[in-house]
Amino acid sequence: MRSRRRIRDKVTNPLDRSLGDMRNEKEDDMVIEEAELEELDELEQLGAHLREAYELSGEPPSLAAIEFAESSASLPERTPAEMARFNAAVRQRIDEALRASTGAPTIGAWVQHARREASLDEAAAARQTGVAVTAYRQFEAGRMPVWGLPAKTFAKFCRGLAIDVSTLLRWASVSALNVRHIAYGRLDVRDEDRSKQLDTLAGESKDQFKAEFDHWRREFIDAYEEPSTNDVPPPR
Amino acid sequence: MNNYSNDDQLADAVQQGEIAAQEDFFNRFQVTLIKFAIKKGFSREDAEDLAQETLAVGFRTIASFRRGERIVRWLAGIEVNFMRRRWAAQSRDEVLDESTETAASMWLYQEQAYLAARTLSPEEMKERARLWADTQLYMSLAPNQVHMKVVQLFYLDNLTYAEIEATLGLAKDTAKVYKQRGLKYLKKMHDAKPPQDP
Repeated sequence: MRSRRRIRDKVTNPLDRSLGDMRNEKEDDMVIEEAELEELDELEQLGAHLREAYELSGEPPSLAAIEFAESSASLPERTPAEMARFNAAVRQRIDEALRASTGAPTIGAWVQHARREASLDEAAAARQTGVAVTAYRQFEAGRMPVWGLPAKTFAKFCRGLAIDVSTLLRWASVSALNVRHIAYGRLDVRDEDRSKQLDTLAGESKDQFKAEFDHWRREFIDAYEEPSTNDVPPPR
Repeated sequence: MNNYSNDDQLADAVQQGEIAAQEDFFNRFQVTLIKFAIKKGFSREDAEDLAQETLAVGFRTIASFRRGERIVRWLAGIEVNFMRRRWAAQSRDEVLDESTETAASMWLYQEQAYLAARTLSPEEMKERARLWADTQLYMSLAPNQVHMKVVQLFYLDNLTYAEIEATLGLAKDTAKVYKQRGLKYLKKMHDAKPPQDP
């Protein structure tokens, strides 16, 4: 019982240790005893096994290792333009990966594939989605963005086709930002004022677009999660 | 820039396709991931590439992020897997020389451990799994946490002595002694027989 208490006291000790205590401790520890030298190999082997065990555990790196890298690796301050380029490159990779995993070049083509699997024709799809057949064709051909469709009716249509809504929304958000960056993202090299105006215009346009997209997205999610009139209530 | 008070909120928002969350997700972690790769010996160009690769996979697989944990650790785990692939693809002619103690050589150490771990027998794998589970417990209970920090930084985080000195302010010789003391404590705990029921 006494030894247990002593161990518990020791556990809390490191937190209370002052710098002076730590310095003293270092001095005490500077001398390696003979006995310790003899068991060096054994201890190193334990360390090596520990490293292997940690590797095998699949544990992600510790927070300490990440924070150490963050504080010690040198990287020049990143400009907003660098960050924007980096983000655009990430979105490009996501887009490519989504194309590969769905086997479709656009969201429209992906939905088209699901529609065909369900043996649904374009006219029925357009009717269910609440748009004209020509407009629906434009969507499937990748010439109209998904957020151009009415959110509520399209959400119900997607539910009917059992489309993975999380993938659809993330793909839409990635495509949306890729499209918007092209709109005003340029500079007028001869006129600084004009460059600033374009910059402001781009910022305002982006904010407005984000708000519109977000509104569409929320409407879509609400409609997708809404119970369908065809849903049969669970038996009591 | 930071609109989400915790990682779970951010992950949920990314999963639901929120544009602001997507931007926050990329902006918040890009520098950390780039620096983490640079610290592991990758060039700036490769580090940018690894960070982009990691964020792209993180974005696509955000549903698998276990809520309650830290996104930055989860992403760093993905990045380490990409690093391993690159190391595995590189030439193995380079001889590991611990005396140089560069970050790259320490990273090679980790790679060696990883490769060695892949060739273990099922019994050895089981033994290592037990070793890791017990070590986590013993480390948290250790009476001298400074010794444990040195063991962690050296063997698990693969920091060099110079880096340990920069982090904990311990001279190389002191860190060596602390590492040894830490291992000695762990060995004692591992060797100890579990208490017998009366």
